[in-house]
Amino acid sequence: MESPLKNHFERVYVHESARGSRLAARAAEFFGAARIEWVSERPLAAVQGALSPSEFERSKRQLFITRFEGAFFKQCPGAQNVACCNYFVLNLGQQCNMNCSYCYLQSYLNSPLLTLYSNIEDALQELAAMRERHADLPIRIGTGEVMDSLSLDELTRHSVDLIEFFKTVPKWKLEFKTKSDNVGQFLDRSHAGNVFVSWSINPQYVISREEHGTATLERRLVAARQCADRGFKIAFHIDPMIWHPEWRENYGALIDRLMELFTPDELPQISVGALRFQPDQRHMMRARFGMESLVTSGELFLSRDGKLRYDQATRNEMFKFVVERFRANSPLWKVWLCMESPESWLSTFESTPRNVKELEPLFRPLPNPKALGVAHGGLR
Amino acid sequence: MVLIPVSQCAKSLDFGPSKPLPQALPPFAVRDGERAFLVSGFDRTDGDAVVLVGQIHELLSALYPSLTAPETARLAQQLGESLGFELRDAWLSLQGLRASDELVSLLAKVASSPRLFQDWVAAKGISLRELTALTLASGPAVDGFCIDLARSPASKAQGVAILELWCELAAMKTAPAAVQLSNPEAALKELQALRSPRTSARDTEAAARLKTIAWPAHTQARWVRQGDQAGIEIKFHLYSELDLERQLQGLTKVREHLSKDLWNRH
Repeated sequence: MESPLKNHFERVYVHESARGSRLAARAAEFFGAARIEWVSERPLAAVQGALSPSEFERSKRQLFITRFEGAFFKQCPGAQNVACCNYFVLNLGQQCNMNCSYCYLQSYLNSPLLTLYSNIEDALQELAAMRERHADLPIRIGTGEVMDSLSLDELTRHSVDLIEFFKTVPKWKLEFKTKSDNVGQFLDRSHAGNVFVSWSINPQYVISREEHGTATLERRLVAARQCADRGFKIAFHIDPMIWHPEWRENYGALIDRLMELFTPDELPQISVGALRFQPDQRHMMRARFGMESLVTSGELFLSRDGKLRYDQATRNEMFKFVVERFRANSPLWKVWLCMESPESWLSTFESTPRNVKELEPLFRPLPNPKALGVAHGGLR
Repeated sequence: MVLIPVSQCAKSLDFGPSKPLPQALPPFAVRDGERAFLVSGFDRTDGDAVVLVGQIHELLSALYPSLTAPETARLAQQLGESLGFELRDAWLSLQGLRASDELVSLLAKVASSPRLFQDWVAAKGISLRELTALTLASGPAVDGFCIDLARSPASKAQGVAILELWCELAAMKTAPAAVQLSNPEAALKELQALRSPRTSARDTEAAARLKTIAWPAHTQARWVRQGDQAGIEIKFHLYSELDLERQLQGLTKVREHLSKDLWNRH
């Protein structure tokens, strides 16, 4: 069956700086050489600054492959008033070919193109430099901050290069975060047991309404099962939980299905979060998804960290429901809250993350970014 | 200096600027091929206009360096209709605006809104960004609401919030038929309650429960929402250490009721 990705893009631009790269060669093979438009400048150069809703929409269908000259590797800065886990991001491109109504990229990206960087070897060199000094630190590195880690992997094959590199740093953890089911390209690869493939999941009811162009819940779960069977660590993010009248039934069924397919040992972490976004993002979301969306029509209020969130009591109710559903099955399930306030932690766990024994390693502060020699930045 | 009789100039760029050209100044005109367009002093009917030389969009930008949101919308409309979208977009670009589909749609919406509303928007200094919700709603009810809002004593912040809430509700087909805009604070609360019915009902219930609790004498307690958190605001005055002791004892007695009747239900 032909990959839907082949016909996803209206235009495929490759910058001259990427000529000779493996990614450019793969793009020519994947899309056909005739579809490649070689350019010496960034296309759509007139589009500067914040994108309009229609420009953002279009950017998902305009692929641009180019060399990246900046720093690939950054520490996630977390955000004010939220409990933060230690996490680093490796950005190998930006923008996503999928289209979730709540996606934070809508208030973050200002490029009119979905960009993929052709020089992954430079990214690996940055990682190698870090390895020289900090191979023994329990560093978590994710590639899914400004793009989905795997949704374009059938084109980029970046996962394969990264898995290979991470064999040399067994104490580090590589995290692919995805809403796709593209795992076939690395399933047979040998690895050091430090590769996490994680899925952001929601009930199919929510996926069908809000996570456009993503894999169905069942396909994500099947992909996760395949990964677990091949020794990859897997994780799930029940995030963002989206309130709707039948949320208890739908999230209950989702959790039951997870518990049916996996054991607590197979899931070292299940993070839970609720819908949140920057207030300014509401304009773009309303324009792109209308007011029928569960997200745009949600009851959201300004929280202390400046984001719009559900009322604290609603969040507490949702988080407690999830935690209790897992705990009723087994106390061994390791559930934690992502990007949440201390109030949510206290209400759900009667403790803050650094005081939850099972989670302590995850939230133990690392040396500051300067000491680590990496850039501090990114989003959230 | 080249002059042209005002009577020979087209007035299709008359966007109704809020400040009329001082009588002491001559009106200006620009040429586009054979045609001449008046670009200021639109109220003049006789006399001559000074013909400016240059690109129309650049001259307009120089003549009107800071327009209100409705003026921007009206001039964009007039430019597009009279001289084409390319020139309109070039002028918008000089205003720091990119002519995206959404902006063009918003400009059209603002330009076609009731003039009373436009004048209110201009007087309050409301920006185009603050008006984006207007594109969500359509139909005669919107115009009626805009006129009512313009006639209300709402402040800028209240007005912007009321407008956005009402437009969202209209798009969700739950906008109320009438809103008491003579009291903007009450109107805002009413619309917020309609926009967040579940949370609002929860707050109302908590506030009612709070009233059933026997608070210590001279203590005022009310349920207050602050963003995504809601809780109890307690007010009392202390005049001595004894007062403090009594209040603490009184609040300790209330604690059990709070646990039973409020925290565990809310």
